[in-house]
Amino acid sequence: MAEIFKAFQKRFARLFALIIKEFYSVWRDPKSRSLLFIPPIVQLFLFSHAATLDIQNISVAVLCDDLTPVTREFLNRVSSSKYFKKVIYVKSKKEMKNALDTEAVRGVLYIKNDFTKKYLSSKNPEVEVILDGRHTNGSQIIGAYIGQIVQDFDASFARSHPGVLSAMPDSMNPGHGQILIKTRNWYNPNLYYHWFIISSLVGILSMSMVVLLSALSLAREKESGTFDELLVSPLKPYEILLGKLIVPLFFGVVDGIIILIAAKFVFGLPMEGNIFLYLFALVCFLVSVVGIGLFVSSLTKTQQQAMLGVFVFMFPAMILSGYSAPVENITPAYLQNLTIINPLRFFLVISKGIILKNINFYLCLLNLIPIIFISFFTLFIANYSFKNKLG
Amino acid sequence: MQQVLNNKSDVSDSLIVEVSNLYKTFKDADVPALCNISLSLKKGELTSLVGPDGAGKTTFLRMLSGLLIPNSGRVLIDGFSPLQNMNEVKSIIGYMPQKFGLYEDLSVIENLNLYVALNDGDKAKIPLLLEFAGLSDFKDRLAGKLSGGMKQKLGLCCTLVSNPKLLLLDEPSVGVDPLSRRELMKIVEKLVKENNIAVIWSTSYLDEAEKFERVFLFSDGKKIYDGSPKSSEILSGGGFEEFVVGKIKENKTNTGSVSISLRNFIKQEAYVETPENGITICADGLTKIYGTKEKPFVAADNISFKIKKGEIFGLLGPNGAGKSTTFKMLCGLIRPTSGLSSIMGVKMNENPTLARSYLGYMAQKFSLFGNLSVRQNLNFFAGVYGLFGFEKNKRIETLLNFFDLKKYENFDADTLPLGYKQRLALSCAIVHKPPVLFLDEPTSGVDPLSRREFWGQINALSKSGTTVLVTTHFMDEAQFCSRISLIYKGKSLVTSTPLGLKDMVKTDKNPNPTMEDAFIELILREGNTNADKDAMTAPEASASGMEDSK
Amino acid sequence: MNWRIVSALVKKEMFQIVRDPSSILIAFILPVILLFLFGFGINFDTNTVKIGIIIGDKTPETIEILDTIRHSRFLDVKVFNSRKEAEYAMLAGKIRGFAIIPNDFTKKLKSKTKKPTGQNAASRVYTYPEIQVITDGSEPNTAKFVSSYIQGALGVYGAINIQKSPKSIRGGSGIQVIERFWYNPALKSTYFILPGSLAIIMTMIGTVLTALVIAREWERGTMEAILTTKATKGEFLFAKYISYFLLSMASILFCLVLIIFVFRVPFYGSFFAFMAVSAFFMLGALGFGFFVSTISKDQFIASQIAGVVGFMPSMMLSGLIYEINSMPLFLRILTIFIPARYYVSSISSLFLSGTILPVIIRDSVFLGIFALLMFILVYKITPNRLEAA
Repeated sequence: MAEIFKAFQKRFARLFALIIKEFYSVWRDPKSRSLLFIPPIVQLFLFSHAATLDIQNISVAVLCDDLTPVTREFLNRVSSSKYFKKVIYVKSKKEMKNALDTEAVRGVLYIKNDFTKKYLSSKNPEVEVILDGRHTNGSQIIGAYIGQIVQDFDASFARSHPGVLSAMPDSMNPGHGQILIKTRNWYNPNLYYHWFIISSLVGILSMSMVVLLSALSLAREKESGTFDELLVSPLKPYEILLGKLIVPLFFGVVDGIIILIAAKFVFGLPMEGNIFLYLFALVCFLVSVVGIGLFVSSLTKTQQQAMLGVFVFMFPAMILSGYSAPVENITPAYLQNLTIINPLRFFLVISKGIILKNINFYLCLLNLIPIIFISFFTLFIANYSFKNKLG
Repeated sequence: MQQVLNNKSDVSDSLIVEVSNLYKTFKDADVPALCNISLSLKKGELTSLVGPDGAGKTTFLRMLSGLLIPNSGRVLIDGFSPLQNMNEVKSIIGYMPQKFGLYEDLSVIENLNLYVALNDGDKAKIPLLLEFAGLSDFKDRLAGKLSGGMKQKLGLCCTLVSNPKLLLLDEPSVGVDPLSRRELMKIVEKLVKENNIAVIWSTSYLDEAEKFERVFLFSDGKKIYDGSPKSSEILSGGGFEEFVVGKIKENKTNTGSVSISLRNFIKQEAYVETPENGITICADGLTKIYGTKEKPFVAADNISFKIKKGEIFGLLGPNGAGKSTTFKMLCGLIRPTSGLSSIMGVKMNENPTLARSYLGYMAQKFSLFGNLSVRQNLNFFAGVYGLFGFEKNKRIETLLNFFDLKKYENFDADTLPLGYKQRLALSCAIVHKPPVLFLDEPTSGVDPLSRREFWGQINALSKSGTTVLVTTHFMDEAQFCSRISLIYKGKSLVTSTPLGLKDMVKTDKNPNPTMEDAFIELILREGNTNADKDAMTAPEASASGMEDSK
Repeated sequence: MNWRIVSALVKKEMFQIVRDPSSILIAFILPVILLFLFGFGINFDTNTVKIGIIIGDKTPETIEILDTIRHSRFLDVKVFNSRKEAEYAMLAGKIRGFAIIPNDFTKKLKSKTKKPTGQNAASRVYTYPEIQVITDGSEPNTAKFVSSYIQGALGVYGAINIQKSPKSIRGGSGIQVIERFWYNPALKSTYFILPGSLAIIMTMIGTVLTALVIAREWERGTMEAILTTKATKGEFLFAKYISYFLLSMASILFCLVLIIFVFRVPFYGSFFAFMAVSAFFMLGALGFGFFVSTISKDQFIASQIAGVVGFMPSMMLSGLIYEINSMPLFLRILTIFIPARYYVSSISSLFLSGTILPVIIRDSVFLGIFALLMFILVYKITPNRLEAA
């Protein structure tokens, strides 16, 4: 019994020594210590503010060939709209083109000279909206804003001029034939974009730190020759793997927790689901990321190559994760299948799910299983490459 | 040579180097790197700058070439100051930095073309230089694929393109086999004679420095000797090495005091376990073939030996001979193509973990965890070999004291002087009291005093029953081994005791051959009249690229 | 400047580039991978959104509504029997939102022709039939699409219905909004993303290519050798710039060909202007890479800096994905210092609208200033000895 205990103690001592060493090798140098925490926090604050798909502070131009009380009223509404920073009046099509070309404005409202005439005789007057197609996303939203202003104007102008209204038949009244649509946005009632971004950043920022740490620490040991020392020691390959796994994992989880705390108390995100479930998922996810980091560095010989490998992994992982654009938007569709090897994709679902939607354990598990598969696979390969080295 | 370098031979007594009261201290260093150095050098004088690692040799040479700025004192190169007249000085000196300053991914001729252009030299000189260095046949080979000796010659050629009057060579013989070292010496001697070039050749090899007429001995930033290594004072005092060791000791302000006596230490190390037949290390037909079937490269060819308990067994040979490959096969880092190795009777291929638990391993270049402190390094290795608790702390304390590492306990391993790095690496390797110790080039770059101490420690260990396997390319170190295997081009030429080896080459002409003589003679007998040229690329280097392709 | 020395150094760099397969890989293979990723991976044109629908009362009217919604090319509709099922599907992320047609929908729809109850025309109250739409706000962007697509689909329904009754005309005076998208009439987001992604790709490639080349010279001792020759540090840096500049311009050209001929993005601008802006941009990016390479001895730190200072900001703050105008003021000020921003704006104009000189000149000036500052910085911190004087 005592023998077994001693053997166990010995094994534990070995592993413990390895973990302590890994810990110190990132922690001792103040430069690398600060790199563990400062970049994620700075990026969190920068990007949570940067990332909004709302459109603000945009200027539009108006080209009006028909100056009448009606259009003046209409243009007043456009100018006073909260959507636009400035409304510029242009006098000619040439001026208009110039303004659009140089991105001085993003859209132009063009009112033709027969607008008032048609309007007063209810002959479907036209307003042309010319938008800058170089910014597809933003321009669509600007188009929608202008559409909204036009509709509001149409409805209230009619209402504030009962004479006009009563001259019309009943069926012409606003709202006639309309169905009222009541929209409610669950999980994020005000559709704050930063809620979405921050709940994704927990995964992205801790991932980028962990993958770099695990890939480069192994590559560094290979370069300096200390990896050979590990290999000739009585450490078993899986013990080396464990040592290389635990420390990056630890720092990744700490980073994740820091971001979560900031999310809750600085950015006011709801923390709907179970925090322990969340941490469990984060650990599983980061294990798979370490696996990828070790896998990358098992293919490389120098730190430079490892760094390149990390970039080559991170780019697709970020782009094909549903973060920059939804996964279902990826065309051609078969490329969507490629995302099933991307642990980040699954983790983002869990992260948003637990932070915003309070998903249950079962739904979490559905997304966790692929992550666990990926970690097993990459860790297996890393382990194999250590074993193979040992001969 | 006269036509190669068209220096006007103005044989005059004027000085080419004048240094007075040179003082240099680096930021965040508590001791000055150079302390009030004064010396002068005549035109055409061939000198050696010798001293242990960290003595300030490189700093001194960099100061002469204007790469570093002194805190105080004055340097004049042929009357010009490297500070104010950088351009003039640049055209007077030829500087070869450590590692020769070559672009490894450029070919020989491309390197030369580059340096000719950079020095605004004459292209017509290149063929002459190639001829002179014996590199004409290799001019299209990449510099990285040259042997150490050839790199060294190419490095020299690159500094010669500017017709220098002063050659500064920083440790030109590190990593170069003895045959090539001899050749380079001859070439440089010729240059001096025919072109009146002054040379400062820095080295940490004492046997090399001994061949110069004048040496500057540096230690801890001070010049402690300036004169001939063969003066009567030295010869009567037991030779140059004794003299240098004595001088260094004298100068050392904080000589490492060994607090536990060697004997006590040996007692502690006493290792009782003995395998059957007393054979602790066994290599049986170890062979490693890299490359494809069509173009095989044999890195190690059928190497066999048996080592008994308590022996110090040396694997001797130039860089790239296959020492490291053999060494790595023995400790299981490389899987042999065929053949077996066993440690303490345990076969490496059957139970690698058990076999490895018997060995202590000190890798080339003392690979320690550079960003961990001395104590953390020891803690790590102790823990990894299963020590813990009181036992571990006691062991680490003992080692810290014995190796005089106590004062560096909390220093990063990277910041240690090389000699201390070596001590730390050795203590890490023996922290778990292994019966078998593997040392891969344990003394390269280390000063003579530390080397001597190191061998004392190894000797003590072997007396306590530890078996030691060591690789080295220092010929003079062979005498510390009980037996030697001479490795050359993947083959073991001969295995014998040091005396036995010398006996083999004893002739009437040379009744008392040195180890180096024996080595060169035995290689020549193998039928390689031009060993250096065939030495090819270092298999270690190319092997690392092929390791995974079985 | 001694041209013999410069040309020898350039030659040396070229040999090194050609012989190092990794630099060719970085310059020509990496951009292909990245372009494909950007081209296919980032797509803001939502194709179809999966939604659910729950019909409280099955009547011909509601079936008709269902049909209209089904016919929308933006919506992929699944009918749920209970609200609970739909809620769960949304929780699981299977649908992005759902619409509920309540039990009294048909009743209210039919009662709409009743006379209003009030006396004043302006304050007459109608009981409109209601449809509830619930969206998954955890994807705010998609959520907006869901509600507007359903609104659109129901608008179509209303229009059809109105046309059926001959008496009816549209509500209000019926102002028609006609939207036209200049420069990109089909409104393909890849037309913008792909050229713009060049800024990010080239930032990354420029940095990765150069981030270690100066550090390497120090490491291998070749810097020391060069410093003792007649070459000055100006010549040394100039040669490095030229070599990596040529390499990266070749890489840009290669990307341009890919974008135009493989991804079929139209290119209306002048080739010359494109190369000019790209040159300014690249000089800055290379300068940044050299800068990182010079200041960081540790490769781990170098790669962190390259990632944190180089890549992430150009991804997030260049205006490629997120509108700069919509950012808070301090970030808008920060983007002034992000060269990728100017490059994105010039490139998207060049591709989609033509050579708009004011834009090109403004952006080139900023990029030029950045490149110049970087060069001065690199020149200042590169010592001509082993230590600063």
